[in-house]
Amino acid sequence: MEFGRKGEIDIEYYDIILEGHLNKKRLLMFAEMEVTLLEDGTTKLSGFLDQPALYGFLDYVGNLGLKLISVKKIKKENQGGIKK
Amino acid sequence: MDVLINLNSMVPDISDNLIKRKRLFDLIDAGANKKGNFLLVSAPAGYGKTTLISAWLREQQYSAAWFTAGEHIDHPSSFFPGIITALQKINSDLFKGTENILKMPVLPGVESVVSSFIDEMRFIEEKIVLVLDNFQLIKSKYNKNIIEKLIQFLPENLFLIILTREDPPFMLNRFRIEGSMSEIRAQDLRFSKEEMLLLFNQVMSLDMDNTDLDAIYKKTEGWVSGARLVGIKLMGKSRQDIHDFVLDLSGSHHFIIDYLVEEVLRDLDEVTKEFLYRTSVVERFCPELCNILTGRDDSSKILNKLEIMNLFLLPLDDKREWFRYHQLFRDSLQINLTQSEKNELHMKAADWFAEQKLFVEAVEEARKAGEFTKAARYLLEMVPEYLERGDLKKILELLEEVPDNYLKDRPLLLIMKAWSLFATGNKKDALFYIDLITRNSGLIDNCNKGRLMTLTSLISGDIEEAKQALKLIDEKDKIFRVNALMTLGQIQAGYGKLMESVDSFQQAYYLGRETGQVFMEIMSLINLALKQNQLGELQEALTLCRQNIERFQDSRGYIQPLARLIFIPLGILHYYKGDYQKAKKYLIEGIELSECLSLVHVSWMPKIYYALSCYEAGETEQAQEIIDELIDFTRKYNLKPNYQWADNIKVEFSLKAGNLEMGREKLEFYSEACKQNFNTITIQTILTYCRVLLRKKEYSEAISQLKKVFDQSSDYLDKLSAGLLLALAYYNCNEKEKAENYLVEAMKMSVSQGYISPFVREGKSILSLLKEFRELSPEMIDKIVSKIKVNLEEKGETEELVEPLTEREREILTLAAGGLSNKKIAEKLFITEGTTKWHLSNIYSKLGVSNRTRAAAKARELGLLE
Repeated sequence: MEFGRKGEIDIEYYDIILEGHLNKKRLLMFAEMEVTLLEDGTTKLSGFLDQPALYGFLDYVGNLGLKLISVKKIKKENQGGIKK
Repeated sequence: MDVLINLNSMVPDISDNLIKRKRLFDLIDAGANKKGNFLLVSAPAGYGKTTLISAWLREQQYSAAWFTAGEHIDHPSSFFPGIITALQKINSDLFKGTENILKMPVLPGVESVVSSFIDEMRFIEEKIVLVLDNFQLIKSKYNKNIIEKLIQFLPENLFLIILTREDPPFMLNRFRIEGSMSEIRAQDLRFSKEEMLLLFNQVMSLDMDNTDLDAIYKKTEGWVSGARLVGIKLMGKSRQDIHDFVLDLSGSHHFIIDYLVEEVLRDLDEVTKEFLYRTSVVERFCPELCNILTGRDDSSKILNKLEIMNLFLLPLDDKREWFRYHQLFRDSLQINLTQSEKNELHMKAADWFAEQKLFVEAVEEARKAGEFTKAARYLLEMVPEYLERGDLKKILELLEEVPDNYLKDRPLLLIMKAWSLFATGNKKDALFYIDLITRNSGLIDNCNKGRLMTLTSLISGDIEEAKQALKLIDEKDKIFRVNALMTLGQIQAGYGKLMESVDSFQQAYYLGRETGQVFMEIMSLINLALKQNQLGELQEALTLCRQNIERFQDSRGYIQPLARLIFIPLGILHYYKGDYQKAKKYLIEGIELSECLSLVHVSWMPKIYYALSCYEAGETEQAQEIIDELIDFTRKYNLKPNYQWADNIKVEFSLKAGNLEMGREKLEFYSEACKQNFNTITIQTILTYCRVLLRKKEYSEAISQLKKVFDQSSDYLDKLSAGLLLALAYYNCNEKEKAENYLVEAMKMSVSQGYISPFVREGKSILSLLKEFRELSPEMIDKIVSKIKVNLEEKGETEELVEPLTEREREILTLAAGGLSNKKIAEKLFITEGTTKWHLSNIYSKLGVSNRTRAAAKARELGLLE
């Protein structure tokens, strides 16, 4: 299973925040996404996802019992240096 | 029994040192004591859902069935059938009818499955607890619909418990408001601080102080699995070690399950760790499979050790041969393997499963390894056994998971695919696969050639091809042989070779009984009875139907739903006997059931006979309405022969009403039909045309057409009608001797078997003919005449119903009088909208009214409504 897709239409850039710091091996599952371990003890995953990928991701996270803190679509003008 | 399903239907035996959770037991008890209640236990992984319910069950006296959804259970062939398997562990005689419906090669309608289940629940006297574990894995709409319907119509003696990590998409709010649902959620399940202390200091014999407990409680938030992992990590540790660990844990930001699993694993030796990693790829395992995956020979010992350590290892059977890891634990183990390591392990598992002849698992594991060539090979290996068991659906479902290009060298799999597409009405795609197979036909052996020909002959209608198919198919492949015989019988009947057709259907029926595919057996039986009738063997056909209904009836008088399809031929035979009320009763049941099972093509013929029975019972308006509805339907779907049949009957009805007007176009069409080759429909059309000619007094043309039918048709019923109409024609021409001869022929044919309707059908036009020759068979002729009279008498305004309303009709009438639409009534009573309409028109005719307002008024007048 790999999450995150590049170079496709109808995809949006999302910031997803989960409680806890994910360990390195777990992060391999999210190879296509940018991962930041935040100081408040949460993990931020950012990347381009279309809707099925987003729902698949949420399903995966839910099954692990990971606590989801927020999912936010990032507007184009705020994506800054991010490249599709 | 399938190992897979068997393991999924065990009540888990978690002989853990449990903490008694009285407050939760009380919650469950409250739900169990209500009638028709269900309990939703909804919480994330690791909150102890399974442990709680299995502990509660152990303290109860209830008979319980447990079904755990797992990977690949989400197919119609695995999910509800698995639940039935679990329930049959309580008593193996239960739910046979539902089991047979589920085995149908085509997907039965949700309603038919649930209503049969509810029906069968009624015969069980005790309360049964049914637990569905891991329900979040059930994603298919079909499976979810079954459970939602079941909840809506939950039998009073069933306590349903659903364990899930996500709320099912049911109308939970409605159930909450109705009070028909109890709930246990994460906040109820999480440990209280007291419970956690109990776990650590008593169950796990730790020596933990309150400060550390507070810190752990804060970090884990009462999460049960987290607490247990902490406990495992700390067992045998000193107070200082405990304190140090708690300090680390509190300061860590790591995702807690990964952190804790890593901590626990750190204390294990390399051998055990490696064992855990490698065995985590499979959903469940036994020592032998573990040996294969790890390359060791002492897996049994290691498993034993893990069980003692309480390392999230759950036994799956009484003998403790099969185990699985707790889902969360397994997931945390798996991340230690690379994809290629996983693939290699899946492949090892696949080969081992195949060696054990557990092909379903073998296919799944090969597929997970991405080895589709192997998946296809194992799939091919499982086909004969599954065909023999009559379990077609499993093969067809697994076929969906293997890409086409891996199937192309395996003709049997392609044939199965084409067959399933054809059976579900997808002719175009079926033809694509047939073409694919034929293009590589050099590769296929005789048996497969034969299997393929059962399909191609159905399309071409070629008798020789169908016979050839039968010759080529291996004796052992009973399912395909039954299929070939049914195809052959159908084609033979189409060509008017009725004797041969009866022979084919008879063979199909007997062979069908050996396959365990009750649906195919019953379809053969229905065809056999109908063809026997066409051969003039009304009594034999009746006996056949009655004997078989009896065979599917249990000691309590309950008849399995699929067997109730036999009411269709039974109703048709009663029509021919002239027993119209019984005919209607049987036919409506057959129609209702076939619609419920989504067998639209099956419900068509009984509808025609229902209309004919209504007509002869004096309900002419209703009969006409039904025929009009059928004509609309056949036009809409462009079903030409069916349209012609219905249209012929419409013409007959209007003739009887004295309407001789007929467009030129129609007459031309009729005389054209007379020039065509004989088949069932053209003969009927010719007969109808002759009735028109007789009314127009064009006797010579009628006689020449009728003679053709009389001399050439092998269909006894056509011959009978032709003979009778010939007698009428000659009688009207005043050639009494010839008339008598033909009437004698017709009477001879009908007296011994009791065919009344072919006479009654001609109505008053034959009355003087019959009266003149009454002496031929006074008893029979009197009976016929009395039936025709019923039809002639004007239906006066009677204050008592000729026939009382059935319970179902009364129910429907009450709802209709309450202002509910057909759709709402259908939903409420759990039948289709079409069936509701049928019942309503039946009610109208019994009440002698034409719409629901008047029906309600009339019913109130007669005191039929409460």
